[in-house]
Amino acid sequence: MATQPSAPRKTDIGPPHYEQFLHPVIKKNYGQWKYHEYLKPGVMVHVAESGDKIYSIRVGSPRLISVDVIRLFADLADKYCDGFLRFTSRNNVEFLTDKEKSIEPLIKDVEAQGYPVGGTGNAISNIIHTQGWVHCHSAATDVSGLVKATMDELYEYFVDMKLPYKLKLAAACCLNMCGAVHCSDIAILGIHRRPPKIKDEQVSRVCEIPTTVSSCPTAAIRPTTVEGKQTVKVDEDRCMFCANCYTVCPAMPIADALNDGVSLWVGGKVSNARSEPMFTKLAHPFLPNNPPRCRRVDRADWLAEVL
Amino acid sequence: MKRSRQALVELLRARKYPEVLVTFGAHRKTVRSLRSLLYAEEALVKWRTVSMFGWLAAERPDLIAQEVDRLIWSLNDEAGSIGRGAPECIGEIGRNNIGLVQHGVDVVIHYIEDPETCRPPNRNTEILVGVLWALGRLGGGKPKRVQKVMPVLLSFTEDPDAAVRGMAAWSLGQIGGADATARLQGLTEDAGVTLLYEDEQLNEKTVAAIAREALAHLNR
Amino acid sequence: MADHKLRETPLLDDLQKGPWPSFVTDMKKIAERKPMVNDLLGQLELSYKERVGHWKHGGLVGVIGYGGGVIGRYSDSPDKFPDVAHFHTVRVNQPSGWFYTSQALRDLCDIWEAHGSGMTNMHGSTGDCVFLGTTSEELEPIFAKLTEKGWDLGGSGSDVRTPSCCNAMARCEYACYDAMDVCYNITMEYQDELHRPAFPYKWKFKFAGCPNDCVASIARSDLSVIGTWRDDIRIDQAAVKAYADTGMDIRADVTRKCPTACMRYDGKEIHINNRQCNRCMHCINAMPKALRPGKDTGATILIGGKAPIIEGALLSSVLVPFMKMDKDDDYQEFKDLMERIWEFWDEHGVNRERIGECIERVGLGNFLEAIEVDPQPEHVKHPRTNPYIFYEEYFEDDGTG
Repeated sequence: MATQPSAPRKTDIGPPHYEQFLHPVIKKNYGQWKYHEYLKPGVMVHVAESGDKIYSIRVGSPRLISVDVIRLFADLADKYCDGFLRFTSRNNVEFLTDKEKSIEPLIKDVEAQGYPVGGTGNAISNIIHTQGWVHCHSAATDVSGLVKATMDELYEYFVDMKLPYKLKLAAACCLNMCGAVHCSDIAILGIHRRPPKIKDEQVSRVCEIPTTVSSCPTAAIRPTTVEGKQTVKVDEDRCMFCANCYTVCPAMPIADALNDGVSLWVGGKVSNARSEPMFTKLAHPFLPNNPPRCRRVDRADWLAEVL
Repeated sequence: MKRSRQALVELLRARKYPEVLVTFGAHRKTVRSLRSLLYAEEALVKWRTVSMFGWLAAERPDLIAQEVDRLIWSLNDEAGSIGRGAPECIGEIGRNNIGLVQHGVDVVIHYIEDPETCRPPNRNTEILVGVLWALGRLGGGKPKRVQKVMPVLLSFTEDPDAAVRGMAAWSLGQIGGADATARLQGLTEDAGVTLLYEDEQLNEKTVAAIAREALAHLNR
Repeated sequence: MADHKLRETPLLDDLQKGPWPSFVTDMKKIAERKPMVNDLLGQLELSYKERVGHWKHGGLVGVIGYGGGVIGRYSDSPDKFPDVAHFHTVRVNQPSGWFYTSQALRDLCDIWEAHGSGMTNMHGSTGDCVFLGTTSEELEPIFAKLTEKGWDLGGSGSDVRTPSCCNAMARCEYACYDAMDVCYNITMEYQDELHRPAFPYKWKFKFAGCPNDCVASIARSDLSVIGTWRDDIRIDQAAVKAYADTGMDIRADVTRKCPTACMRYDGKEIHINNRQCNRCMHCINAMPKALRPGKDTGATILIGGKAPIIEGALLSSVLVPFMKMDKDDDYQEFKDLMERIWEFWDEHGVNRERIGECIERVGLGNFLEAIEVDPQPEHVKHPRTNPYIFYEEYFEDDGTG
């Protein structure tokens, strides 16, 4: 067990400075941009005061990607963009070039590799999402699968710009809502529907009881003693299954294969344009987990109707 | 920031605990800087920071009223961070001012009962050693506090890792009792080597030496 | 090449069909050479079958010297899936605006391929590049190789989390301040707070160049910095005419949609009563060639955004209506304010209490007083409706009144 490092270690160096990653046209025109236009779905041009142009080709990505996929993006960037690219705040990848003639060959190559060009303007820009069963230990559902199934259904709205306006989607595997589920236009939220199953003999050993009690938004948790052991009990009428207690107290697991599922939320927004940011509102309280595609209830039809 | 961090480290190396507050101010920012030093790569700096928290517990408990809750939380793997130095701090704070740790101390005491966190293959040995040290500090003041976990504590004297055996031995020497004495007598030939923080000094010792010193301490 | 039997995954295989790129196809390919991913697929398939996750609480892991940046994760079925017995996450601090070169990406891929599962998230919700799945023994080697190539870990735990930003001045004409530079500057300034958790709970910065807030800063971060301006929107009336000539219905789509009704289009020119403008960006978004933010730019600072747990979701609320983000001053005014806020939160925040919840509990008035910010009309959404007022001044009946 090593507690002493052997040689002076570099620490606290922070990220690399972004400047080294900027396309020369971007660097030259930094802070001097004049306007932008959509040339077609997935292709933007930004025009600088100087007249210089930078083209951005936006490509959909599953976010959960292997080094093979990243290397593919790197290869494409080398081939068509002098190696310059970026990722977006909604998990897409953008290839950046100042050469208009590179656009079509890049698009053809990207699409041949199985990646869609789109997500710009009045479109769905991808679904922000969390780890789900792939990695999250408080997940009520899987999210990568849900996102894949949903984007398959809504694919036409990614590769085109035919919606009334931008549509931001998000999916989260539990109420911690990593991402922006609480403010997206349409959101899918993993939920539990049964109270935690308390392991009394573990609680006082691994959980700080006051923190566990105060972790409950509805004050449903009280300290108690069971067979001489300090533990907690949950008032099941007050419990709304948020699983925050499980986060602070590992002795209160809450996942329930029969009753966990997803809820659907509508009507949030993150930006200030025209109106203030808003929270999403509950549209459908429960759909059962039915991996891989939740086909049983044909929810994709519902979403298509909403659009 | 880097300059002042170095100055803080120098004061801790020199064991000038009151001067820390005089130089950097008696406010939360100083305490946060100390929390940060629990992660210092140099072991002595981490341990002196632990002693500094003990000093604060005795002299300026108002500055660390919230600290124990946060230290306990950092031992929960859901916290997303690693509670290096947290068990030691809780032990040292508890030794100096038991009122400050009432809520959290059981989590530290019972930590060694969880095989997930304390036995191979998934354990964090440094945290475990820190907990064993804390048990010594807490139990050394009040042995009754740690009686419930004595059987498990005794079992760590047979751990494959010398650092764990050594700290368990030291801890038993602080707590005492017939079982502790008997177990320590079985360790007086253990040639495993470890680092021990005692009386604010960090020294390399064999488990055997620790056991012998512990027995001498108990028999005085 | 594979010396391990590839897992059968009938449920997951269904997700290989369909037009959207399939993470299953990707994972199955890398599983041929990466046993970790093979077992990950196996465990995920079991989760799909049983409809429950298979990760558990486990021991704490990290790299020496840091309190965060690594999230420990352990399979609850290591006998069935030994290659995901450990499956920890390493957060790598992304470059501002997520700009990369192909070489930079290859450097990261090579490190990760050699020491982990090869699966990533590009990117995590906070902004980090996420290396998904490695063992405890690999953490120090990964860290050493990352720093050697100029990369560092992101934040996790009760610390300052990795700041993120939009692409602002790199590519966007709407940018009102250099959000990418601020993001980098703040990340470097607060490295200690980022790597060594010492706060009541997490703290998230997100920097948006304009009120469009493409990083959802107001929705998601404790401290939102939203670019804005305080002079007049710039109008190019020739470009306005050009939009009209293309058939744009300027009244219906732009001036009549203005939320403060401060715009007028007389058939030839757009007129804006800037004193009424709330700088929402709608008209600018609609006519980017004709309308632009003003030139006297800076940022609005908002505080308190967070997701629901525990007291409910909050949107950030205005703290400083306008602050110049002055690069020449090293953003000192901003940093001074941050440190006053942190001092307050550190002292008064209970464990796992976000700043937004802390302010709600102690009261905005007390908070503003403590951080030495004067109350302003912009702090108030609407005047009180509750008539239970604690009047402090009153007349005495002493004959002089």
